[in-house]
Amino acid sequence: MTYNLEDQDLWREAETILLHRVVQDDADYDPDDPFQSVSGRFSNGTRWVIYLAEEAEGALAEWLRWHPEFLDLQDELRVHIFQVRVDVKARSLDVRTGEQAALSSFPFHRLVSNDEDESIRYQECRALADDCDANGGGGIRSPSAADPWFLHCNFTLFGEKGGSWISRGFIEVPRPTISRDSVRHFSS
Amino acid sequence: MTVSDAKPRYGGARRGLPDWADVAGSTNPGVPLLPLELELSLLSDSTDADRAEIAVEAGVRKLENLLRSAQALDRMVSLSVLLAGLQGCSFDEAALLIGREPPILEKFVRGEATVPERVMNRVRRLDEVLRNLHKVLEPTATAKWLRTSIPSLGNESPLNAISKGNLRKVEELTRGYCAPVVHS
Repeated sequence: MTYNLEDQDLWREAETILLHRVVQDDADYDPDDPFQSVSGRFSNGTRWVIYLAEEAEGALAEWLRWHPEFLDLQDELRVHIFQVRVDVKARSLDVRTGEQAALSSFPFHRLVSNDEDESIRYQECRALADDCDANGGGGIRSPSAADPWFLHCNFTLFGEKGGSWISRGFIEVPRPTISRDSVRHFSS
Repeated sequence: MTVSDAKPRYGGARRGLPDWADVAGSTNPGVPLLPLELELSLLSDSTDADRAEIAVEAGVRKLENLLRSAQALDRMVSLSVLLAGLQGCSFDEAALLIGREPPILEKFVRGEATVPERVMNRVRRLDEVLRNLHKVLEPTATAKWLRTSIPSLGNESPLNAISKGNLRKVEELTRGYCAPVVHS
C-alpha cells in the first residue's frame, strides 16, 4: 500500500450517477464499454477501466487535450457525447478537492500532473488506483487535468461492466463548444 | 499462325456466337467469359489438336490482358476514391500526398498510365488515414485538417509531415483518433 486511504471521509458510498464520455462516429464500442487501457492516468493495462467525466464540457476537454488540432474545427467534429447512467455498487475514492486529497497522503497536484513523460506523469495516480483496488474501491473521483482551473471532475471506474458498477443505459447529449482557453495543454 | 488467322476457321460468328478472339482481345474488363468457355467446349470436339492449343494459348494471353486491365482499372478507381476523399485539397496538394508530380498524377487519373504498386501502397495507407480521420471529422474539413499544425507531429501539418516522408506518424496519429478516450 503506497498511500494512506484509511480515512472514511475519503470514500463515497454506492451511488447512481450520470456521467459523460466522448465517442467517435461509427465507433466499434458502446459508450458504456470499459476496456483494458494501457495508457491513461489510472490504468496500466492490468485492469478494465472506463474514463467518464461529470460534465459534457469536461469530457470534451479531455478529448481535445489529446487532439488540440481540433480546437478550431469543433463545428466540423464528428465525435459525440453520451451521457451514461451508472450504478456504482462499490464505494469510490473521492479526491476531487485539495481538502479531500489532504485526508490521504496523496499530493493533490499529482492528480493533475503534467509531466511530458507519461511514465512520470501518471506514476503516483496509477499507484493510487492500485491502492483503491486493494481497498475495495470501484473507482476514483478526481479533478480533470484537462481543465486549466481543475473545476471539472472525472469518475474513473474500474472493472468490467456488471462488476462493481452497472450501466443503466446511455443517451447522446448535445456537444458543447469550448474555448481554446478551456483546455489545458500538455507541458504548459 | 496468328489469332486473327485462326478466327474464320473456328467459325464462332457463323454459329451466331460472339467471336471469342474478339471478346478475349477486348480491353473492356466487363465482358463476360461465357462465350470463351462455350467456344472452348466446341473446340474440344475438334480433332485438330494444334488449332485447339493455339486457341487456348491465345485465350490465356487474352485473359491475362483482361486481368491486367481489371487490375489497372481497380487501381485507378482506388486512386479516384482517395482523391474524392481529399475534399477541399488542390490537385498539387493531392500530388504531394501521393508523392508524385501533378502531371504524373494526372496521367494516373486519366488512365494514361498504370498506377504502380509502390504508389498503390501509399494510396491504401492514405485511405486508412482518411477513414480514421472521418470518424472524428466531417470530410468537408479534410483540407483544413491537412493544413493544421499538430503538436504530436512536431507542429508540422499532416500535409507537410507526409510530404517529408512521415506518413507513418500521421497513420499513428489518426489511429489514435479512433481509440476510446483515456483521461490525461
